[in-house]
Amino acid sequence: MKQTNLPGFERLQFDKELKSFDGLLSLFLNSVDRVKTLGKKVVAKSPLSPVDPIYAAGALAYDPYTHETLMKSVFKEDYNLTQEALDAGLNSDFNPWNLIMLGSVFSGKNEIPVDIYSTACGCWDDQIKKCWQTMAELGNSPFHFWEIPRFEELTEKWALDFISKELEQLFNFLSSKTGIKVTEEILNSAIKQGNLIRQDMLDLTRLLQSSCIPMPALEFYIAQLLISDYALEPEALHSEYRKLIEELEHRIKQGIAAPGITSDKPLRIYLMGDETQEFQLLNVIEQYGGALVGCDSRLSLYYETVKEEVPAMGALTGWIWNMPHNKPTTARVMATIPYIKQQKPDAIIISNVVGSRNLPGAERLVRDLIREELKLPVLSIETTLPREDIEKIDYQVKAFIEMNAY
Amino acid sequence: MSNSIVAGVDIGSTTAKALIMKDGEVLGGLIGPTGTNPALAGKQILEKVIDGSNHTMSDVKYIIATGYGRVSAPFANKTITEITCHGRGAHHISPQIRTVIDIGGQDAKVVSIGEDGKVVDFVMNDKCASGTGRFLESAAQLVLHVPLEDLGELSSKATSICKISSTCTVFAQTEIVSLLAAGESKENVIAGLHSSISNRVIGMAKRVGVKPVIMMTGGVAKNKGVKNALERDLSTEVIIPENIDPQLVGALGAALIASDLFNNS
Amino acid sequence: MTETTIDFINRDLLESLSTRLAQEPERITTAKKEGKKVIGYFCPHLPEELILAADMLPIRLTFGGELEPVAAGEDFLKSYSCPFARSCIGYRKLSDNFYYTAVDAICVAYTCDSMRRIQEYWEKYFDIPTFSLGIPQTHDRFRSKPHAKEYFKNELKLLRQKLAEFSDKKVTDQDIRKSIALCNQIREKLWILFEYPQSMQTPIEWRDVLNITHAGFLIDRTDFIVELDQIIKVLKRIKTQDIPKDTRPRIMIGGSIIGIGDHKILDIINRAGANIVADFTCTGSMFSRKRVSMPGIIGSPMDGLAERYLYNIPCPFMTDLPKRLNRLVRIARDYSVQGLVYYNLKYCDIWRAEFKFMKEALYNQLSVPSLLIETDYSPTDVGTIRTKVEAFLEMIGGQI
Repeated sequence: MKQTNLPGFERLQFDKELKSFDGLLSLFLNSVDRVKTLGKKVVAKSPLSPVDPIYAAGALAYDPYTHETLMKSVFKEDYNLTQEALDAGLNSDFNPWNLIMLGSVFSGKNEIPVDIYSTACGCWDDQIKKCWQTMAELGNSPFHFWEIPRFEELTEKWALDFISKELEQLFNFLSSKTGIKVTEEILNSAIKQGNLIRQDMLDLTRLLQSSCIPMPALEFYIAQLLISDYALEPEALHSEYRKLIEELEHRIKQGIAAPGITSDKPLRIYLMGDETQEFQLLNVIEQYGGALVGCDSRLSLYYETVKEEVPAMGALTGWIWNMPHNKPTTARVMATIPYIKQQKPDAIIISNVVGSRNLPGAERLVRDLIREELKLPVLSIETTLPREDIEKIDYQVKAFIEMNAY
Repeated sequence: MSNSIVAGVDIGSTTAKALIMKDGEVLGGLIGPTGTNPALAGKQILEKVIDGSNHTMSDVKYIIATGYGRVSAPFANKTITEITCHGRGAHHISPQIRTVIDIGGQDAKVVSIGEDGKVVDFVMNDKCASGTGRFLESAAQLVLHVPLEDLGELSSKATSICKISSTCTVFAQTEIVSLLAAGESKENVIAGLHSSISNRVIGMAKRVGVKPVIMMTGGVAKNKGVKNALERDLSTEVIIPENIDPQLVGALGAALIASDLFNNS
Repeated sequence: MTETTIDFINRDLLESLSTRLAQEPERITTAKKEGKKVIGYFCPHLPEELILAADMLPIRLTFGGELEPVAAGEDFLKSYSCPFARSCIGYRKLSDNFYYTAVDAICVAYTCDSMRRIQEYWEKYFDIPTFSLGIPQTHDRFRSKPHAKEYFKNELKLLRQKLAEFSDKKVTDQDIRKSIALCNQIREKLWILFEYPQSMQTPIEWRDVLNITHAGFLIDRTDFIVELDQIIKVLKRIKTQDIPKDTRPRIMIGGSIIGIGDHKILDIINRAGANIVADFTCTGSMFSRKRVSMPGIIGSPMDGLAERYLYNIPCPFMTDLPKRLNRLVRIARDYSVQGLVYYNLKYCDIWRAEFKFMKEALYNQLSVPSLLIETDYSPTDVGTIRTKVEAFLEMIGGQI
């Protein structure tokens, strides 16, 4: 891999035999150059904000929370960015993903220049919302917030109405910047494109249901993180996902498991909670006899495909209304459980990022619900920046797997 | 009237300082340990300074107490925070000073002052000890086994700056042990500690804005290594008071304020 | 052990209110025996009117300042979460604060992450009904999102229905109009009190007006109006020109919620010799600014409620920052504020992220400096905070 000169890659164990992953990672690593050739407006959106509306309006979706932090903190190990974030008004005890993202943007070292800040605000993560507010205010860029109302079945009628009006305004705003008016047809086409990617991720996840797990934990983790902005080029992402799926299906046919998996009967682990910057966790899981069978940090973007029917607006609105992460915790966990069950896990690991105040606050509830509904053992881990917690993670995961393995 | 003197007493958490002035001139200043009784320490150091001059306690017409222990200085006429006193003291030493960086035993502060020596903005570190003298002290004594006074000299011999990523004093000690075990030289590690402090303090300083001319005060100002690290990281000169011990700047400021108040009454 | 009394400054003036407050637990207990239900809520976006119209007793549960409930709440939320939110859960868990135990149900406005968690944890672990209210957060002062008000109105209608069912009472529009009139009266009277500290010769200080507001979260609203009337009557009789001018430095406070009983920072500021004259906290003046306007009173009451509760309480969970900045500057100007003490609870992100902008707005428009104090309910940092506050006062007082 030509990316091996990135310091973060030194301590991470990649699956060298998984050729198709290179293409996927390149798509991520060379997005800076591609953006220049694509020549469209870049819209910065938060990780779980719906992606299709942006492509429908003829712009490019970009998730700096994932992209900037992965590049700077995990891959380049350049942590000296938090000062700019503190200058911008954040506190050092904020979520380190946000600190690095803001530090990156305000120090001018951001990977991809942003034209517009537009994100969905909902019943999740105030801190990310405030970061978008800060970036928009200090960056002097056009911005537009839209929102997804709280989920309660009794409120569906007016909630759907509200969402569709919000989408209309969003389209008007984006169109005024891109010059492309969003018609039903265009929206339908964007949804179809998004569906291809959603289906890819569902297929990829389905491959993990097999007893012979073909996909390594680290690569799956990265692959599902990248879905949050369709890599600025949906067709390219779809193509890379397909190649990956093909190679993995081939492995299943041959009975080949991911090389990092050290056990014949690995402890099947489903990862929930905040996305962590400690990528070595994924290696550690396999090292001590576990295997990753699923992950829900981006599940809300591919939990199901959007109905491809006219009116596209209605289909999209309904899909957004059911996004798991917008639901209150109990409803969210109950909605997620069928997906978890499909992966046939033996144990759950919940990741908490210190400084995140959204998911960690609900962790107690999630743990209790998982125990009640699934009767599976649960391990809670806390992480901040890469390397800081690895010793603790190492022995916790080791002990957890030992405790629960056959 | 001709025998009237004023005094500034700065009772810190580790050291107590007293300085006396007459007719605008500094007569003397001393530094002593605070120990467990701040009020007593303050009184004793003041008495000692007076003994060393040609005056008696009855000549002292106005006393300002400052520092962490100022509330327990019943002998003082008034108390003023060390922030205002450091600003005033620094300005007296050099009227060009606009930023005062005070790194003491247990706290650190950055004070931004105007042309008239009045405080415009300030920032103090929180409960954490990193970025203070305690950070260096614990590393020097517990892990490196070198006297505190030698740190500056040793760091000047460093061949490179060893990066210390732990901001926590406790975890930094563990990190230093690993670095030394891995073969890093003491000098390089010390340079790394200085760099850490510098980064921490500059991070704080940016909240009030760092305007030249910059002066460093407090015990850690005597450490050339930290001064050099600050100069390198700020790309500007950092002044250390020469004719007066950097630890006495707070007491100086207090004495000056005492002088003003006495003359106005 | 929690004390559900409030430390009034002017004990003579507020003796009657204090006595009345002390009687409230007993009165509530009696009312409950007679079948009356008690509804708790936390955020000022929740229209009390709906609770009153359903013939139930509203209690705004906003106690704070105590460590024990925070520690108890940590079993649910993490240690790196807002201490106020932790205590909202902890108080109920410990069951030694009468009010938290007395409530038969709670209403939770879906404002910040912490509030949503409070609803979820009460619902699952405390076995009483919880009623949620959705509030739009991206609307602005230009009304560029008229559908936000429509959505909110529908949410209010649903809440009205749920409360009516819970109380087993039919709630008519006229019932709501009556409650609006009641609450408007309270707001007007509180507003009269909040305006006094604008003058240097005020017969009542801001801190007591805050205390009065807090008492009003707990006691029967009709009785509260009687107390307010009495207080205002006494104050009106005072010849303010005879009061010696209060020349202490004039401080505005805000930056997170100031709970009932949370007086650590207030005490430090007062003991350092400053006078707090204004605030922009939701348990203070923000609670009573703006009444429900005429159209709501004679026309559609739900419309009036939606209008007032959506647009008038600019909490930072909403994205319209300029609105908050404008209000901040206006208050600072009206009250001749000399400095802002931004009391931010640790881990309260939404307020923390706006400090920079608020500091700049005040400084650029009014040359008023700000001091950031980030703290929690623990008493260990009192010394450091005192030094910062004293230095800040020395700074704005022109030093010596």
